[in-house]
Amino acid sequence: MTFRPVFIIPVLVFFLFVGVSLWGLLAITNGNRDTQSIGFSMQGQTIPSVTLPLLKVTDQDEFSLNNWQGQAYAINVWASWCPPCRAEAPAIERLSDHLPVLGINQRDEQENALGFLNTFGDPYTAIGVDRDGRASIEIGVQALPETLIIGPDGTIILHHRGPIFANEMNGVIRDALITLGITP
Amino acid sequence: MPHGTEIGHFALALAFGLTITQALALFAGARSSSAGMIRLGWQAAIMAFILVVISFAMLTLAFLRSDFSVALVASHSHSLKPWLYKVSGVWGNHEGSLLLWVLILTLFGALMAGQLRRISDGRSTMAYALSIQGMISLAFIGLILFTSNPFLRLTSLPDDGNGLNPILQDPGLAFHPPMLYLGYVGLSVGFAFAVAALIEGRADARWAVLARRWVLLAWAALTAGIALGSWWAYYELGWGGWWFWDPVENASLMPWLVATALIHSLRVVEKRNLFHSWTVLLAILGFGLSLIGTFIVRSGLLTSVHAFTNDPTRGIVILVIIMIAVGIPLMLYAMRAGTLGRDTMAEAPALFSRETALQANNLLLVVTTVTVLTGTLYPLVIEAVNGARISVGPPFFEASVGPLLGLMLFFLPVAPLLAWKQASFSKIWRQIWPMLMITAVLLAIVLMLISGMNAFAIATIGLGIWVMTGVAADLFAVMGLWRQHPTGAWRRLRGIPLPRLGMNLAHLGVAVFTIGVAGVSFFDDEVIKRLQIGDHMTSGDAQFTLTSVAPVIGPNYNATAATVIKTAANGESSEFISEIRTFPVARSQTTEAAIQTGFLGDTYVVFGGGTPEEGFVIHIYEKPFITWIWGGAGLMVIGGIITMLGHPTRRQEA
Amino acid sequence: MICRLISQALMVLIMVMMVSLSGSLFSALPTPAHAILPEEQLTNPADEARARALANELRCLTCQNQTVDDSNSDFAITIRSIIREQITNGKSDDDILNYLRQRYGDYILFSPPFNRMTMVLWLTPIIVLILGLGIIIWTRPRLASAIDDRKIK
Repeated sequence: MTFRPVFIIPVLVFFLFVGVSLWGLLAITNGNRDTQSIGFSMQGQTIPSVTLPLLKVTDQDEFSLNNWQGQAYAINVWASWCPPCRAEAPAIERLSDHLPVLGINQRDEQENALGFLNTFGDPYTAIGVDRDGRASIEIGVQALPETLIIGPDGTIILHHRGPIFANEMNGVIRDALITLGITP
Repeated sequence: MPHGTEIGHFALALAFGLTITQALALFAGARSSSAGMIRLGWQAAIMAFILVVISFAMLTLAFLRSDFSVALVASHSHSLKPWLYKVSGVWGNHEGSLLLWVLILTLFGALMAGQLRRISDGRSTMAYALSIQGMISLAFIGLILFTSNPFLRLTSLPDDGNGLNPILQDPGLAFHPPMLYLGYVGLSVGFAFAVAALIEGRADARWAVLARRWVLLAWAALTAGIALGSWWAYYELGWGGWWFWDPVENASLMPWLVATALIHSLRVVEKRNLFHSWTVLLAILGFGLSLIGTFIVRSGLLTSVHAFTNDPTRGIVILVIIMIAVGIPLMLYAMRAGTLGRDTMAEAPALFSRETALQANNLLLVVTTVTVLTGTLYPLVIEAVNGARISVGPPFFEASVGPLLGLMLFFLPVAPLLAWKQASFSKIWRQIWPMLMITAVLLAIVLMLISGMNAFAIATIGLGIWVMTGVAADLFAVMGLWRQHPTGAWRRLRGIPLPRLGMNLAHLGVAVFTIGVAGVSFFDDEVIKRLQIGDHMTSGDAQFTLTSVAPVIGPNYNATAATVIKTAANGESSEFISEIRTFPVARSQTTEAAIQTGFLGDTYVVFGGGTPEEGFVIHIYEKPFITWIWGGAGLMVIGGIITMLGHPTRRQEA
Repeated sequence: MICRLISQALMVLIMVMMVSLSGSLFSALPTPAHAILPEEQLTNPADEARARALANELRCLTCQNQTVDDSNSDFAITIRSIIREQITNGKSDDDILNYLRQRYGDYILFSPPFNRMTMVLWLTPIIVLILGLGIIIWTRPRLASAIDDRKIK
């Protein structure tokens, strides 16, 4: 029987394909792979400068990220029509105990937004209104909710996509706060 | 019939047993040359088909009668759906489409059984092939019975079904999957023949003659299936987009490319007893890619607008089937491919010959297939390697596949002119230089008539014209006109052998398709305006007036219809009615375009909603030559069928 | 004989199809709501063409494999207005793509950038072509020598 090594190539390529597909499927079933995630965040970059109209009057005159240089703060992007935003409200409240949290209210009506704050609490130092979603895109936000933690030099220490629950509070948020020298 | 679905389920289980019989009996019969075993095997194949027909009929009846006690009917159908969409709803879901797949598998099994019954030459090859076919059938019936049973009942009877996605309530859905599956599954026959060849250690001219008709049929069906899908997507998922290089679309293109290479490669085996190992590999890969295509659509591995269902667990099961069904033949191939051509006495062809041209064609098709496969899977590979996410979309595919197809189109008209074994350049130059002249002249005329063409447009149109001159040149050769014998030319043309006619029709189809692509890719236009009733807008040299916006009630939807009257430059007027439909049950909305289809292209009017205060949005698209895309595909299908019908059934005629 | 009749019938069918298609066929067939609104469009046709071309190269991140040009989602609409704003402000195509890449990574680009990671992808056609040619050439001469061996025997 004449055996020629070149004929092994198809089998090898085939099992490479099978291997990759198997990895992909197992990763999905194990929950390790979210096909919806875009696998990228602004972590490590400098937060772009954003100025927005205020949702309501607070002791801040304006919503502008320029004013926050030299301090650490968090940004939380939310909307009244977003169910996970309601679920994460307690966590954001706890976060606001450690550092100022700025809110960006995306694509919302003022009355609905204020109603949300009445029901779920208002932990925000200031809330900017992002009517058309542009400011969110400026800071690399894809969906709701998302939370960023910014260092005193303007570096994005953490860019978390999705809601924050106990897991995150004890995990990535905690780590980010420690990096900033804040004891959680 | 209250127990209809149970009967269907039972029939399927019986069919499972019969395909096991088919596979085992035929394999044993071929090995031991036992006529009795072989007869048992092909009879089992025919019985299996009959039982699957019963099973499929029961499921269809359940849908038609809106029997919502069947879980599948409850989740995918609704009493208000028109009957055509109730029937197409049978395969508009994962379980039902698998049953359709099995129906076609067993149909081909029964047809092969019919051939096995009749032939006297090559019985062992045919028996092995039908046995392998039986193994595939049994794998899929098993998949249905054990993981994707369409006959499951609900414990409580719902009032009505969950309806079907309104986008799927379209004639395209009725015809696209069955045609596509005819193609996918048809390639299983070629696959079965390839494995039979590996078992027997022989893939000679007789084997190729047996196999080629089946592959031609599968290729024609696959061409039709893909074209129907593209046409459907044109109306359904995009505004004039007919191909997006979406993973699911690529999954259907790859088997097609390989099947095209396979048809040509089989011809070389038939005629010259060469290329055995290439051809067998192509046959295995063709069906392998069909299976992979099925897998991708259902597993949720890759994001796609077309994805059927996203069930990774089912995906793993299908992947295991693929691993066995494709892995074992490929391992067999690795071990035994070297023996396939050992009996050939054929001389190696010269570098300048038809064999080499076909070899080059195969190579280019395989390179294109690998490119498409790599592009489709690359995001997954990168993610596996370092977790990064990238997108590979139309820009990549167009940039890489375009030149490859261009190369193929360039050589296409030359290949039929080349002689087997050794071609002479001076001989074919007599035919090529007029082809070049005519192409240049026609291209120049086109350039004069149309301004603003970029290099790609010129190249694409030029290639389309070039291929057409090739078809004309070959027909001239049939008529004997190159040897300057005009008398009897017409008679010779009328007596053209069917395979040659089929080849030329198919190649003409490729040319027509290419020009269609050029037209719609480089010369299309879109105008969008907000109009009040009575206002008008211009597109091309015609005027479009919005005459009314009124409510419409449909069988299972409420709609708002905008009526636009087009007045062409020559005064002719035509009416376009585009609707926005709301489906209360499915709680979704679709927009229905109004399309005027013509030989030279489509005009496509879409209502974009609006109010009397702010005005109504109207889109008008001009899609020049888009009909040529599907017309070209249609010519290819007809060419393939004609070639199949005229194909020799015995080796001597090849 | 029958085959010839069938093929002639098919030829007639083609002619009939071609003739009928050159008439007018009206159909109402479904499409999703169209994305671009007239108000979105830029007045300068060249700029608008650039905007559409760019939108076609970008992935809508909240959809299942659609371009920003195709999609109706809020995200896509906002990206489209950002593109048009930046074009009007004189930014180049590269500037705009880099702006979005900086925020969303390579995933948002449908044309993968050419770098060490994607080199294999872009070079696939050439690599496979050369490999294929190599395999063909390597497996060719043996045929001739096999025949010679047999003839000698």
